[in-house]
Amino acid sequence: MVRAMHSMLATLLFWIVVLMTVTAATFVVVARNILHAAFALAVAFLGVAGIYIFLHADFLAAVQLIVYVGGIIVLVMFAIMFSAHTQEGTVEPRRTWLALGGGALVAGVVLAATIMLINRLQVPLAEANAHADAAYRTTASAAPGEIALGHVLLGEYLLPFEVASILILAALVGAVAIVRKETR
Amino acid sequence: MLSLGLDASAVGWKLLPVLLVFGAVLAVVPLLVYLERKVCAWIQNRVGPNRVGLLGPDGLAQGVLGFSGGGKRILGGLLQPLADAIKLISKEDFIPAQADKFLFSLAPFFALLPPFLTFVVVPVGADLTFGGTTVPLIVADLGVGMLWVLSVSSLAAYGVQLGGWASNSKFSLLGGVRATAQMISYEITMGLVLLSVFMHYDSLSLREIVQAQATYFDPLLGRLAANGLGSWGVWHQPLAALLFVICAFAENNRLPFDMPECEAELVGGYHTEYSSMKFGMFFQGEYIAMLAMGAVISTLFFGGWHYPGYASVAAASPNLAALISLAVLGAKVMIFVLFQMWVRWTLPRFRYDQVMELGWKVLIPLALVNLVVTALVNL
Repeated sequence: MVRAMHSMLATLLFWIVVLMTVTAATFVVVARNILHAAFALAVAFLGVAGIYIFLHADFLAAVQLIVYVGGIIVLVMFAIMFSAHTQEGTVEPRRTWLALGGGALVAGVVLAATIMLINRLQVPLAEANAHADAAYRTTASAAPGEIALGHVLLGEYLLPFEVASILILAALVGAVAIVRKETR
Repeated sequence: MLSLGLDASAVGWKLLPVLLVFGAVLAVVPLLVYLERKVCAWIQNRVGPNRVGLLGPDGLAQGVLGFSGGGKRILGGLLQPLADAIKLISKEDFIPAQADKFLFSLAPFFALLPPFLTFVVVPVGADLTFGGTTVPLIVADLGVGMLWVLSVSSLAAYGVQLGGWASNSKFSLLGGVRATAQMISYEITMGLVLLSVFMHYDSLSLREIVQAQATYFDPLLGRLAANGLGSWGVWHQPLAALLFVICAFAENNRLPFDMPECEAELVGGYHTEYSSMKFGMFFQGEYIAMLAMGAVISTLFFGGWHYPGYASVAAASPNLAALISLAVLGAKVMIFVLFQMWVRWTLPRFRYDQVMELGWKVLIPLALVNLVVTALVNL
């Protein structure tokens, strides 16, 4: 009884999170006020963190919260506050056919790739993660996700990991260079 | 897997830590507001609230019953939080005409909710046992506990940021911008500090960190032995503890880091335009955040709920030992709350550039050095 109730509650919660994520993501695209769009993006990212929890990927959910919700969107809103149009806070809608077509194309490709990826999985992701969790809990105390992830990132995929950080450094230097040119 | 061991009574007992933690926090906050003003009075040689009490010429008994209690004020001012609450609730809830109404109303919730959520991963006491059912006194023992603390405290930036922007006032906007910059800067140090604490304990779970502080490896006995004070995190990670305490002040926007408010320059900072209970929520959020930071500091660096002699009390009566551990954590948290008040009424405010310089040029390098040293030691 309690177990059935538990799974029903979990399913209900899952659909609430999904609805929240999709609604917020739609709002990001249609919002006229740029700060509202940024805030809706934060809510969408919050929903994605919730979906990670349903996939038993707790570490990923925490990182999603720290990096995207608590870091990047806060900085995005920070930049909006400093921009010239904060007082009216609206953006001119320029929805051309090119923009609509391009957006639909990108969305379609991402959707097709995701469906293909899901079809290639032999075991559902949530189940696989839950099994890994259970297997790890019996042998050691720490959460398994972050340890496996650490070994993969600093072992097998060390080079791509380090290249990504060089890319971020380049972006940082580029940002500084742009700002300096304006003040000269 | 989780639901296998669940039966109705276990679900019921799971609610106990939830009710205990959130009830205690809500009950203590009004007292903290009173305490803050009294501490301020003691430190700065002022009077503080001394009128609204039970007995005495201005007391509740006189106002309601006409009973003066002999003209002597007893515990005058103790009911000041009640009077404040009545004032806040009955004031006009004003929203400026040009404000962004939705975000203006939403922002106070972001000030109130994140500090509450911090308590979710804090173990508030040893396990209680009721007829074979073990009740851990922690709301949720997340495997990623320490990351939860960090992610939740980063959510707090939304309260001040949205509040500052939505008010559509230059003072609020400046306060919000300053708050965001300050919180983001000090979160980096906080993250680095938590990383070195994680390296030291090899665990992200606050529950396991408390257990690790309860025991130490005795080379003479050749096994783990119980210890009260000697294995507290602060002895192993003194620099991390100092940096974390400084960051806690900055995250909570308390003096000397109260740039976002900064009455002298910005009127009231991000909450200039707020009134009534919306202001009340910002105000309450600050005190809950003080409690939350006190709980995290005591858990990471000062042994959490653990106390000397716990093992011998637990051998006699586990439940008594658990109840004492609750009181011990409460006392530790109160010490840190009092410390935050003491600092607030003693130190002057930093200048904004000094806050940034301290954060980026002093604290982050120190935290990095601490991280590298910890990594080398634990190699």
